[in-house]
Amino acid sequence: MNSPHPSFSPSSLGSAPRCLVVSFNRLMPADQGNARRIMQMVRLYKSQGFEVDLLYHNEEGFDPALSHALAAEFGRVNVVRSRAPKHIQPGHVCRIVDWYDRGLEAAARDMHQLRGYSVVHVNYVWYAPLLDQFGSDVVKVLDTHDVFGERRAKYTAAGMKPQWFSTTYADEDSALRRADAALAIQKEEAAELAARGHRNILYLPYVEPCVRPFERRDGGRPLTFGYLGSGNDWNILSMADFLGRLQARGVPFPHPIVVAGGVCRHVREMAGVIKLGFVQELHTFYDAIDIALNPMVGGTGLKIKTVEPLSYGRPVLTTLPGAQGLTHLWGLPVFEDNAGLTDYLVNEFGRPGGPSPLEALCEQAASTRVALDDEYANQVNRLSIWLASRV
Amino acid sequence: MTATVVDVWVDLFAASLVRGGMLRAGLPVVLTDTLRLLPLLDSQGPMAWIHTSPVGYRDHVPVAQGQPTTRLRVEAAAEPAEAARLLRRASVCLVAVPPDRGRAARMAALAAQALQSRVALLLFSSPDVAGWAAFEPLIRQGALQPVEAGAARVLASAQLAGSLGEAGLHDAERALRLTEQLTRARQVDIHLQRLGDRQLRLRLRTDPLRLIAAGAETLAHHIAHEGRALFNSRGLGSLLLPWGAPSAARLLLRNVRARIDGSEIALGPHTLAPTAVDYTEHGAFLRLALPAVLPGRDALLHLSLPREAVPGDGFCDIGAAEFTVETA
Repeated sequence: MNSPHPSFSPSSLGSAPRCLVVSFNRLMPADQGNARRIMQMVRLYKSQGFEVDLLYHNEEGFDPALSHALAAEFGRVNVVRSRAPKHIQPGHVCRIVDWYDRGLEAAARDMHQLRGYSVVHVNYVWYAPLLDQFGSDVVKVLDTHDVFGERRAKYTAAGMKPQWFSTTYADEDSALRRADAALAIQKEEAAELAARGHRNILYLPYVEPCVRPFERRDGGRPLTFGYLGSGNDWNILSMADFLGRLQARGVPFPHPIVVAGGVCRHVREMAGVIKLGFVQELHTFYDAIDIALNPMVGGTGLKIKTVEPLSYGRPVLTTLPGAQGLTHLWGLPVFEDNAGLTDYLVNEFGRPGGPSPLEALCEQAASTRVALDDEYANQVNRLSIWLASRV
Repeated sequence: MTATVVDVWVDLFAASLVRGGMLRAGLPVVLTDTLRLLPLLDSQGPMAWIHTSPVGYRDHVPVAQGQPTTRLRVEAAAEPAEAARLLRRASVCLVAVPPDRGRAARMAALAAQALQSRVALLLFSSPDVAGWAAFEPLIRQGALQPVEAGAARVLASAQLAGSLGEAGLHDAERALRLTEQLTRARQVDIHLQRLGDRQLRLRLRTDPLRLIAAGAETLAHHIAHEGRALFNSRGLGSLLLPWGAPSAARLLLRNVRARIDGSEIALGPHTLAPTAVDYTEHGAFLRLALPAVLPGRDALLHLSLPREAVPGDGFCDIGAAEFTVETA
């Protein structure tokens, strides 16, 4: 049983303490994994009694509808256009000084002068220099989202061209030291950062709010598998590997596989594979499937496609890279690679009319969900106690 | 010298205090019951307005390298904790004493919170407004000192009164120094001409974004998005006047599709007509002779453009604004 979180009620401080969140993500609607993580943190701060303001470093657009949505969610919103040069050095080395935008500093100082923050929360290591704009009376939180030190190596090991941000360990270490607490989204990442000598690491996993429970499937349609993902290189590579292995069996898989999201443009035409393309609402996709798949061959950071199905009442089958950071809680089958995943699918579901393990998977998924919720509640409690000791 | 120009002098003095680093750390806070602006103080960085009556409009301040954000205006009745927090953290508290006794009593209670936090106070208004009576206990308790301010009544905490010097509030030399500094720092486009011992002519050119006030949320979000001083889609616009003194205004109206000579213009109870409209390639320059804003009234100029002048596929906006005020 988890103890109740300490909170910062308006009555205990005279008025609600304030937290400034700094984000380059378009948070409304939160349809990307990192935006959803940030909104998880916003909900967490609010649940602790904080009033939350936003400094939006506009990299993903701004319009009146977004302005309206943000105003409804946050106490005060400032929007600063991104002018970070974002140079990438040879060998795909990104220096934090080249990705950090000093243009944020004046807006952050002005907001602090107006609103008086107790906590400033920045996302991603290259925003850490902004923490220096706040005095020692402000608690500084850095949500890492991912480990970016030598992140490029994971791409090159998979034969891919490195993407987005990757920096040196020294640069990342320096950024982490600027924060009072750096949040790791996975237990393994927290351990890795602690092993590098950091003593300010707090582990806080990502858990989606539960949308619907695990229920018996509607018997009116065939048992359906599904994968939803954006068109990033890891997803494209993973789906190509998975479908290639399934096709190599030489026998058609007897159940439809529904694919949705940007990855559809890169998925081969194949019998039994139905491409939905972009779906406006997640439940549209999850309503159409019975079992989610996440056949990752690698990747970095949070595997949102592994935890998301559990919020929509669907079990998920994944490889080890897809379950990274979750294995200590995972009660569903996890496969070494896509060879293992396709073996399982063919053996367990390959015979039409054969006994289906769906019910057992749903039970395992439900207990995994409970384990995730407990883990999240425990870690939130730790974070709350830490915040209470600092604010 | 009339009391209606007192806010010009208060603005000059307060801006010089902030500019000169003569205040303790914190925010300048203005206590008022009307929608007003102090453009010089506003140009010096974050400040807050605490209102003792409903505001009803949203106005904006520019953000460096970003989209405009709403000017911080707090309704004390709706957000008492926030008002108290601002007053505790204030660097100075400027109090526009209102004519209404009830509002004055509420305002005096708020000013007392600032006084408890040892915030320097400056009270100003016309000497004959009824609201002064509510402030008498505060004036005694805070040992506020009368300040030479011509026809206006001004009282200040000892530390402020001490920094005013012999000329009191109407110190033309201080005003000249300030405007030179602001111009040199390119913080404000202001030209100041000395007309007499305590008489000045100020010509202020300001970003109209700082003046436009949105009566509806939708328009406020469009202003935040576009970063321009927009009229709404029906051609209605409200402009916050710098100071309450009589002034000559020149406004550049852009994206108007027809002549605007017939625009309906109002300031408080006054219905106004343009003194001239010049049509140029940049837009229509509207010239207005604005009377003083009456005590207890918002300094809001309302413009309603003829329907045929309003584009169907966008907004009219104010591209430039200039005001000339004389302090005599």
